[in-house]
Amino acid sequence: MKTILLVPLLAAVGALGLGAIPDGAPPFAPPQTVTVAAGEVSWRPLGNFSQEGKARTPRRVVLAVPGFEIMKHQVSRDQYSTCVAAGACAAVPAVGGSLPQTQVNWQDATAFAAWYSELTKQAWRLPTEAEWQLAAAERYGDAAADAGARDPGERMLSAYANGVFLRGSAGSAPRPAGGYGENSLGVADMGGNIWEWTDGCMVNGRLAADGTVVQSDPYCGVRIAGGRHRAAVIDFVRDASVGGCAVGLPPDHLGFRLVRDAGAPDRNGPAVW
Amino acid sequence: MLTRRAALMGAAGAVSLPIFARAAKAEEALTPAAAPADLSKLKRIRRELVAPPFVHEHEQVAPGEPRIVEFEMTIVEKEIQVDDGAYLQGMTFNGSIPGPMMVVHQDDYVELTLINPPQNMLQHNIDFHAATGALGGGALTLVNPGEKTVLRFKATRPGTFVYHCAPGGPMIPWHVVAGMVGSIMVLPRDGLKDHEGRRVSYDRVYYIGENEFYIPKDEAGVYKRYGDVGESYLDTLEVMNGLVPSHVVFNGKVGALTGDNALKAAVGEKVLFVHSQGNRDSRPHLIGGHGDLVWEAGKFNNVPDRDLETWFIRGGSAGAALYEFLQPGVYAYVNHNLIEAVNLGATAHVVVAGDWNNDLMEQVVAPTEMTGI
Ligand SMILES: [Cu+2]
Repeated sequence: MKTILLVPLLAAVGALGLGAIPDGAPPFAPPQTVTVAAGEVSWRPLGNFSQEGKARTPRRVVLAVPGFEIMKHQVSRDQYSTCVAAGACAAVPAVGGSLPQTQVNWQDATAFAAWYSELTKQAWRLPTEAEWQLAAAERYGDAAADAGARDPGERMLSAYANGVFLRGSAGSAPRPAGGYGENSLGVADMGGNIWEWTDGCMVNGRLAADGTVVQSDPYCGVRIAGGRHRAAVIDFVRDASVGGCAVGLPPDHLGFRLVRDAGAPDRNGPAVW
Repeated sequence: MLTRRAALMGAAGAVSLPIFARAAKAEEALTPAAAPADLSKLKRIRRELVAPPFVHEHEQVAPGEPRIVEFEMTIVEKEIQVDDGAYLQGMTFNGSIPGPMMVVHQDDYVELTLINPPQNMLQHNIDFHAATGALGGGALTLVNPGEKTVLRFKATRPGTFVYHCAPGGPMIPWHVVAGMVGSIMVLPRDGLKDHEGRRVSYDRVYYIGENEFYIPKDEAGVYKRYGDVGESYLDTLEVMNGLVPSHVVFNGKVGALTGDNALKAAVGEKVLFVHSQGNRDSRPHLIGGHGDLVWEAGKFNNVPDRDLETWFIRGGSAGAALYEFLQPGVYAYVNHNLIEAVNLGATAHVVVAGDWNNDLMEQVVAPTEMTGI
């Protein structure tokens, strides 16, 4: 497996001068982007949390998210195949055409971001979880068990019910770009049947009596994919359709879109998750 | 280039809770959970697990009231040589394939501490087929590297049962075929009984865990070797989905229970063979012997079958067969799909000491040249 690390590459790009005019001819037309204004999201980390030794769901907190620029559409198969042809991305099973690229794992997605950043001399990266949530707007979904759910059975039933509700009537085949329409911010296809990789990690920790997180540790072998219901997916999995969110409620497809940072990328900034 | 493990560890340090997070309004009231079970009056006993085919010390008849039986298992991800030139990026309960067998009695409480050390790369959990609720405990035991969890369940049904890792989605079959499967035997409190309800005991018990592996090959047909378990996933998935195993083995590798490691017994000894397969059907057969009493599905509330030649182990179950050895010699204990037994590895040997019984079998004429016909 090819392990391409985003951080050092971006740092190198930064040293070369961001925002410079690309020297080579772009491999495809620059993607349309949407500027998402700074805002707030009602946030809770996804993972395993406990309170006095029992599994619990964290209470939501209000999180401020700085504004950012995000691709209007998911990265397409044509775009991804250019990266494969350049030898910078791993070949994946779903190939050809203008459909959104699916069957990519988190490593494939970050490799694409690194390659495209280097090519364009711009800082492209996966969105943070909070950015994805803000960009998804009314299409954001989270199938975590309700914070009030206490015993294991109640927690499983709650998560399942939330997932079934959020899932609605998503079909199984990927639709062409725009097939799921735009949300209120003008971002296309959020919450369709393609889940999107974010830079977020699964988090484990402990909760205070009021349900807020008092201690947490990320586990980045599992990344968070945004969609109708957030999914925690192992970073080398390309097809999670047989499981993922809650029992029996997996993401249909895994794809991605990127965020473009205007200034020098600051990987130690506040909203890393 | 950084390994995946190093990259993960590096990434882990970069994430922290932003200070501008503030608690939302108290929209979600916390309701009290059911009171924890009060088991404070029960005795506790701690059992040290041993690697298969052996089984930890235990009583066949329960010595008194139900107890809390404590076990501890550490999950170990490691490369395992399964045959000449064939290496598996294995995932194991306690370092062995299969995982160790636990023994308790009906109505005992199994209390397992499951440890996922920081050296591991992946999340794991445990689903006990003997347990009731929460996906057999799987929903309560998902541990990241560097975490541990304690699960307690009541062993309400007597029998042999599989346990396995089931950490969600496509990880489930992969972790199982990478080795994360074992068994637990829940004995009736008054021990095993024959078809007429009479008490029977065993002199030895062997746990034979059967696993099948799906090891990818390169273009030249040579088994591929991987730097770590994550690296082996995508290729392995492709082989797995073809449903054609590269190896079918007992105790984790070809020849693990033959030669110096052959099982031992003596004429007149009753041996209980517990056979598990977490993923795929099998059909144990003792060449030259039988199953005197066989709990094919492994569940001791059912009347055992008698005098079986071959018995069936459903994928995802463990069965038990009791046999008293009547002749000395070497027995082959095989999966009687003989292609799997001979060509793919599913063969164990039992070396039995004792005196030959000519009444049961006698060589009348040794093979000789056919002269004068
Ligand atoms: Cu596992």
